[in-house]
This record gives sequence, C-alpha cells and structure tokens, in this order.
Amino acid sequence: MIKGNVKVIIFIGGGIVLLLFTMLFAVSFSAFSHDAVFISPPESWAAFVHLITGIPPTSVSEKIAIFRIQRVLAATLAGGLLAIGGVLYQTNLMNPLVDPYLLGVSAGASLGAVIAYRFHLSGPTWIYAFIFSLVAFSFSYVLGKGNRLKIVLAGVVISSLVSAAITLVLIMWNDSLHNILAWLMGSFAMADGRKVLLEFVVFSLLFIFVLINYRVLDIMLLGDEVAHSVGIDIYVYRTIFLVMASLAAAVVAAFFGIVSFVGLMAPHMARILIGDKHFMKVPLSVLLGAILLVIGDFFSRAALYPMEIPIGVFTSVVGGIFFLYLVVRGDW
Amino acid sequence: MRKRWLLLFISLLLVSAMFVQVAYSAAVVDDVGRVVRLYTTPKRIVSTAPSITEILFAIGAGDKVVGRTDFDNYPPEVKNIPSIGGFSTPSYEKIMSLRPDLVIAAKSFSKDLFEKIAAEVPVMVLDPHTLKDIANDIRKVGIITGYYRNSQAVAFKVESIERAVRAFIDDHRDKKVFFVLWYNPIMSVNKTTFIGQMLDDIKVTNITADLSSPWPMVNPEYLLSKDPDIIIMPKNSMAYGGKPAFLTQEPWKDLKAVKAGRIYYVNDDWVFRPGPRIVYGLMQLAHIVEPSKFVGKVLTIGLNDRVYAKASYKHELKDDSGTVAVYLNAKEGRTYISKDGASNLFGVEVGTDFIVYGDKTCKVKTDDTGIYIRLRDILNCMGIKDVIWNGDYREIYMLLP
Repeated sequence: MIKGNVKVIIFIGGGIVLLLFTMLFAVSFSAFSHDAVFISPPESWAAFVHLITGIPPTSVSEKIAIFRIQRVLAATLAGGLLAIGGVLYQTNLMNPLVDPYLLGVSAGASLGAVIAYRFHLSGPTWIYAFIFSLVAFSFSYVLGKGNRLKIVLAGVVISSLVSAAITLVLIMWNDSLHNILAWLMGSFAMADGRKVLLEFVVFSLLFIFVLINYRVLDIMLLGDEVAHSVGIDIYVYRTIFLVMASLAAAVVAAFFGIVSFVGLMAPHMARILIGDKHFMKVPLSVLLGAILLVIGDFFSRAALYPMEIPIGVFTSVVGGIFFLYLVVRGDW
Repeated sequence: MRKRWLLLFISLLLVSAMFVQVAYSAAVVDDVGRVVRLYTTPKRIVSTAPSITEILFAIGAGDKVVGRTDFDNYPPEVKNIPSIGGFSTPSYEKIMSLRPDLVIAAKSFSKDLFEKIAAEVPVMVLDPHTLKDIANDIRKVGIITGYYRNSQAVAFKVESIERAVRAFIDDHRDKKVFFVLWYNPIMSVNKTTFIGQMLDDIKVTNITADLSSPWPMVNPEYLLSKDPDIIIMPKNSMAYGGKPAFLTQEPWKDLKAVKAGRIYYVNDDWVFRPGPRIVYGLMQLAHIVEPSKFVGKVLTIGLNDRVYAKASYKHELKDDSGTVAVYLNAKEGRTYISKDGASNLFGVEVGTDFIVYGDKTCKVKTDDTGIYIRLRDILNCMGIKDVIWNGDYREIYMLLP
C-alpha cells in the first residue's frame, strides 16, 4: 500500500510526464504513413517558439508543425476542460452518470451551428454555437430551480426539445446534412491559435477557481445537509460551479463539436486511481482527459490518413469499453 | 363443329390479347441492377432528385412530371409541380397521392421508403459515377418514358461535350487541384464521383483522387503539405459573402493557390447534379484551367445566373438547358436575333431601333423586316467581347466581362 503523498506524486507526476510524452508524439507524427510529414522535437520546439512569438513561419514543414501544435494544444485543453466540467457536474449533482453536456450544452451548440450553417449567418459558427449552448443551459438551470434532481430532469427535457428543433431544421433543409453531421461528431482539425488561447484562458480560470474551492467540493459529496451545517451556502456554490462547468463544455462544443464521453470517463478514471479528494482528483482528471483527447485526436487523423475520422468515434468506443468494464467490476 | 368454332374464337381472342399486352413495353436495368419493366407509357412520373427532374425536362417528358423535391429549381416551370419533400426523406403519402405510374429515384433515396413504394409502383434507381453513366442514365430514362430519340440527343450532347473538352484541353497534370466540398471540416471528392471524373476530364491532378471515401473529410495538413495550385469550390454553398473565411487566415492564406489568386468558383447546381447541365459544370471547370484556349466562353443572363448560351448550325440560340430556342437569322454574314429572343435571352429591353441594358441605351441595327436586330450590337452594348463560333462543335459561346 502506497502512502498518500507518494501516491499523489506518482499519479500526478506520472500523468504530467505521460501527457507531455503523448503531446510530443502527437506533434511529431500525423500518421504512420510515408506520406505524412514527420516533425522532430527540435523542429517542434522551433515551431512552438514561432507560434508564441508570432514570427511567421517560413518553410512548409514549419507551418505544418505550427498547425499540428495548435491542434494538439486544442485537444489537450479541451480534454482538461471537459474533465473539470465532468468532475464539477458529478460532484454537484451527486450523480456519477452525468457529464457536462447534461444541461443541454451540446444540443444547444449543435442547434446554433446548424442554424448558422443553414441560414448562412455571418461571423464564425462557434459564436452561434456558444450562444445557443449557454441559452439552453440557462433554460435548464432556471427550470431546475437549483434542485439536484430537478436539474437533471430539466436538462433532459431541454436537451430533447433542442434536439427536436435540430431535427426539424435538418429535415426541412436537408441539403447540407453531411456537413453538419461531420461537424456534430467533433474534430480538432480546424483548431487555430485564437481558439487555443480562448480555451487556455477559460481553462486557467476554471482550474484555479476549482483548486481554491476544493474543500467545498469535498463537503458537497457528503450531502446538502452536511454542507449547510458547516455553513456553506450550497445553492450559491452549486450555481457557480455548474455555470462554470457548462461554460467549459460550451467552449469545447462550440469550437470543436460534440466530443462525447471524455467528461464522463476522466473523472471516473481519476477516482479509481486516486480517490475522491478533489485537490488531487481534479488535476488527475484534467491530465487523463487531456491524454485521452490527444490520443483520440491522433487516432482521428492517423487511422485513415489523409482522411479524417470524427473524434467522437474514438471517444465513444473507448468510453463504451470503459463503462462496460465499470459495470462488470460493479464499481461506481 | 360448334366446339371447333368456339376453340378458334378463344384462341383468336388469346392471340389478340397478347398483342394488346405488348403494344408498349419497355424494360431497362437500372443502376442498382433491378429490371424495371413498363407496359404502358408512363403519364405520371415522380422525380425524387433535381437532376432527375432536369433529365425529364431535357428529354421532353417535363409535362409528365407530377412530383418533384423541394430542391428543384430548374427549369423554372417546376415551381408549378407539387413537391414531395426533401430528397432523402420525402413524404410517402404525398408520393402515393400523386398516383404515379413511375417513380425515378436517386440512390440516396431512403431505402425503407423505396421498398414501400416499389411494392406498388415501378421504381427506377439512378446512381451515376461518371459523365458516361449520366449519359446512359439519360438514355435509360428516355427508354422507360418513351422519349428515347430525344434522350439519345441529350445523352449524345453530354458525351460529345465531354469528348470535346478532353480533346481541347492540354495535359495539366502537373497542376494540383483541390476541390473544396466543405470547409469545416474540410471535405473533398475522390475519383469515383462524377466531380472527380470531371477533374480527370480537364486533365488536372486531384490531390484527393485516391482517398477511399467518395466524399472524404481531409486532414488539413495534407492540404498544407500538398499545397495545391488551384482551389475550386461551389459558389452558393461555399462563397456567400466573399471567399470562405478560412482561406484568408493563417496558415491557409500562404497556400500557393490563395497567394496567386487561383481560387475559382463553380455553379453548385451544375457540378452537383448528375443531369444534362453537368456539361456546363464541365465547361466551367475546363474554363478554369485553360481560359485562353477554351472552346467556349461564359455568358451571363440575368444578374446572378451564369449560363452558357449556345447556337447551333440551325441558327437557334439556346439557353443553358438547350430548351428555349431563339431563332437567329443570318444575312450577309451577319447574325440577327429576334426582338423577343433578345429580351428573353439577354434581359434587355428592346425598342424599335434601340435596346436598354441596365442604365445604358444603345442604338441597334434591325434587318429590313424590323423583327430582327443585329446580335453584334446587343453584345457590344452588353460589353461582350468574345464570341467564338466553334465550327467543329456547332456551338458558339460568349463571355460577359
């Protein structure tokens, strides 16, 4: 039996090393095809410097390197965001089966994107996706009245209503169905510097806020009554946490489409490895989510290079297998 | 004795009945290998794709079409035909309520719906992958609808224009072309699609030709590393409000094609619809790689619709469907066009000896009957520089600057 601190160092430290290794690997290779460009670690570093300093790259391979770095960073941060979102949802609602898409965030984002595509709205699609996902979330949250169970119900209701609206739009104008379907499955192919930066800002704020308030999350797991008795206004905190988690999920959904299962899977993996203390569970979830998505993104571009596969294919398969394992093991 | 007469009568009846049966009979093998057989000429045809409607109108069976999809917009008469809904999921009840005696469906048609309809009405399925397939599909539609002669002419036009383009266009296989089907995610076409086939016809290298999916999602870095010389995209779906935003940003704006301004648009309806107008799409593509040598030029009719106008040896000027004919009159080496035709085709207002084009009024010469005006004058007024008469292919093409 490993002692607490040693365990933390092993898992968190190991997680960081593994994540960095995966990221480096994903930047170096696009696929195991002779056609794909290989980028050596020094080249990656040079490209990274270019990306940070804003000096325009000169060679094609450097451009590709920058492109790939952005993509990998986007996947890393998206994994982190979804993982934090998942932890917050699962803890706040005391429900191991919820993910940050529960309150209509994904459906809202999809509706926004579908409408933006369909009506040729000007400006980037993600803005509409983002606005719609926050609107859908607000509706479910207001309907749920801060009650754990009612929120879940309201989320289900709003999600299905919004899905009905999506179906309606698609059926009424199904000429661009395949484009939208591809978008809905999620992909990091169109990551760019601005999206990564925005992701980074949201992620940092969220991560720091959650780490500062880890005790509140720990107490929440003991139930509303206990939380009240130690003087925590649980409704205020629940609102803040859920809004932040939904914001995280909305950013990812709006930028990269619906990346399923990561928000559900990463917290469970972290809990199995390290237990329920949020000060350790949150960072480990973030690392696991990031590793999962970096590998998933690598798979989605490498498997059929130069064709792309939506990342949802990978995450759903891995997620399905993982949950099957949990069911068989009987461990929630 | 009586018995024998009766026997003779019955056998005569049978024989005549047999002849009545085979008075009309048409059978074709459709694109999914089913035999479609009809014993009467179809009078009520439901089309489940815009391309099929266009084929039916082009071969002269337009008045038999009783149902079309929401997306049909050509020829303009289709507006008066009731719609059955979208093209993958139309309404079964609407189709049946139209009492069709023939349904012509595209392969993308819903399979369940297809089986339900095929149980009651003959259904022919079309699934072309090349221009040759499109020509054959036009013939098949012609056979089954009883318009074989017309369909033969339309199909021949598709084939001959493809042949002409192949003959006229030099080898450009050193030029790498990327066809943008969609930009988020980036999607393109491979060589098994008729768009891919047309890229092969204009003898360029389609960088996604060998991918396994017909409409592949493409890794953007592949596009960066291949660095195409030419980027082609459908206009209506991709270019609303200028060129797609992604091409103006890093890292796309440094692509060779973007820097050199070699981004071209094609008409969606022409390149996406496997019907008779596919040849205009092909000519538009050919025009991209070899504008100087190209047999045809592009003519604008109306404000938005770029159309190839063609005139045959018989001095008819046709619009892009090849259906509306405007008679031309050739006198002393000059070509005249009827006043009706001029306003119809070019959208100019025609007076006694002048025309109004936009806010410009130009004097024009008329012939001695006063019914025809000189084509050259109209073209000058509209600023059309090039009129190329291609004797070999019996067509003229014009370009509005």
